[in-house]
Amino acid sequence: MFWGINGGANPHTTLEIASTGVAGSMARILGLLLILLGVLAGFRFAGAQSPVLYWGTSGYHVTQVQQRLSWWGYYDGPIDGYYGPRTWNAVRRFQWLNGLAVDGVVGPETWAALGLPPVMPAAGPVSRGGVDNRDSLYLLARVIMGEAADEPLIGKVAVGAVVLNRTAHPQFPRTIAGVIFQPGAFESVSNGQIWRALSDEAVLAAQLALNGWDPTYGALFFWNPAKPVSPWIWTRTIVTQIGRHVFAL
Amino acid sequence: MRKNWLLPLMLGLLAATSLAWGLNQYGLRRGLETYLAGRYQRSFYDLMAHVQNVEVLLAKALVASDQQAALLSDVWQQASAAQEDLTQLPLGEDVAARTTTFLSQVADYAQSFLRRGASVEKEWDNLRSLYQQAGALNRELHDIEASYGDPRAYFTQLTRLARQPEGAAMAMGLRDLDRTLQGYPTLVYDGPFSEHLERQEPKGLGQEKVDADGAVRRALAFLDPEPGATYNARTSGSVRAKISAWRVEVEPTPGSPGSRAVVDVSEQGGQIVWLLVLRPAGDPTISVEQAREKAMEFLGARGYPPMEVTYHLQQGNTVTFNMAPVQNGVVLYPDLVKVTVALDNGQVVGLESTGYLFNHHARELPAPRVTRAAALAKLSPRLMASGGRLALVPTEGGGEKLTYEFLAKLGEDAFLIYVDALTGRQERILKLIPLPGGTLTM
Repeated sequence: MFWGINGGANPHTTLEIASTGVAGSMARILGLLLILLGVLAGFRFAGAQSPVLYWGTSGYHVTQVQQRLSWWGYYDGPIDGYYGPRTWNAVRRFQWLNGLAVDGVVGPETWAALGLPPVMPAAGPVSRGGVDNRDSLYLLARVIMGEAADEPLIGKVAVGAVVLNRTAHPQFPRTIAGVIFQPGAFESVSNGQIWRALSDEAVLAAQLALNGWDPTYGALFFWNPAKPVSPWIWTRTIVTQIGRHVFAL
Repeated sequence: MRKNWLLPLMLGLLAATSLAWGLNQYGLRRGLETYLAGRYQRSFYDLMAHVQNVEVLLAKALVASDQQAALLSDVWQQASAAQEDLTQLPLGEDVAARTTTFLSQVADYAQSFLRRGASVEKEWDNLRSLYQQAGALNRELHDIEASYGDPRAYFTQLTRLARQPEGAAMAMGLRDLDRTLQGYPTLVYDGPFSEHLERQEPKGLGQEKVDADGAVRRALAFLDPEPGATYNARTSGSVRAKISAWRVEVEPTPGSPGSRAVVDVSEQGGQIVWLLVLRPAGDPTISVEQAREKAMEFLGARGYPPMEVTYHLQQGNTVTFNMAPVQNGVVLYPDLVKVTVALDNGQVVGLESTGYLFNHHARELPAPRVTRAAALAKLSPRLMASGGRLALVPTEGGGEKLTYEFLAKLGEDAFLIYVDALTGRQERILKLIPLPGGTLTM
């Protein structure tokens, strides 16, 4: 519905509220009441302009730039909507090879050279305040990357689902950050693996988990049976095995 | 002669440098350990303070003849804080599970008490039981605190042990924290952490049992094939949970186009629990509107009741539709099915129906006792409201309520407001937050 009006919709925005405490756990239990009101987004033609993007900016336009640079082979990082060093490098290389001013900033000329359509400003002020759920998506993608980088996609979604199942369970902290950074809860947090560069698949898995896909059917624990684990963990009821991980209630 | 003192001098310098470096490292480590021990100590003492407050507040709530709401909202807040403190201690996963659950439930119960506008007289037994448990827990925590003598040594030890996989604390008194709360009856009330929810069983599965071959056939019949593709499938595993299921892996036959997919088929009833086609979607060739028609048609052809799209979200080149059945004009939000359509060729690449399988059953919907106009009059006069269709919404305690659904605007801010069609109480308010690709509700 938005396609062709604002030049495409954000490839990496997810919309669910699995993060905030009571609201989050509630939302997951109840299957979430989400209602379509496309008109509210209220896109409308007005004066065309192009955004100015530089190191540190983030959002939908950065995603568009990353997507384009990646199609054209300048960029091989994640399409994550964050203008970081890799995006900066890719933009500079693109500018250099295409005779633009090499400043690492996507201004009107670079924007046009990337073949991206002019941006239509949204109608009037949009009242979203500071509400966003990009932070939860990112934390979730991080822990998925740390715990299940080499697992198949389903195995990645499963790890994300376990984190979300925990936020909805009385035995665990109520927020995504609380669950992930609970002392000793995830090995990848203790050994720093969680800060590895994100892959597209980890972000996709986090989106799927936030959208409610749960291949673990409510599991709260997972472990790799090939590695030494606390004997206590085997007393849990095993639900299923996905890739190298066993999932349990 | 010169060589005779040069070598010892070099070695001496080396030794001195290593010693200095080592001492520096040791100092740094001690510093970090002390810092971490301080954090744990803070969590522990905060936990004690918050649990003590919960005990006292519950006692007051039992005797108060007025202002109970204020006391219970304090209980809610203090118990939440205590739960948070406890989860920040480096305990193994099994050590304080019961205690953490108890604290979550106290907070949740207090919240539910306030929401329902309950009275102490009617809830006396529940409140009294919670008060006794909080008291027991408080005593236990004070005993632990009194037993470990020098707190600094205790928490430093805790910090060191916390690195081991077994967790740690345990050796030191916290091990048996949960024991205190064993033997108390479980609590049933209208809240998300009430124990009766743990026992909820799926209602929408059907009777027939399906074996592995049956599951494979169901998966192949259900899947939305790519043009010209033929598929092979086999079960690759199973799931043992409230819904037990076969995991079916689908692959295109050699030489055929198409992509791999994973489909979970329930053992009871042979229903599709979820499916995911493992391929990235290419550039869009169809609109979201066309994708919506595709999703409706897909569900219709597979025997689902008439559905309505309640919400959609575009992510990359796919759109996910949340669809709810409509019974006599009432939208059944608990029975949600999510369908993802790829915008490149309109293939259904994802489906998730846990909500539907758990909740969908033949319902006798009550007749509304409040008129739409009367419900509308309950809204704040500042709002511009429209809509007002009937919708069945899930409650936090796992129940369902018949409501009027209003779309209300206050300036640029938009809300969905649900008014109970039987009592006229405002059941829920959702704020709508427009994002590119869809609308977020909170």
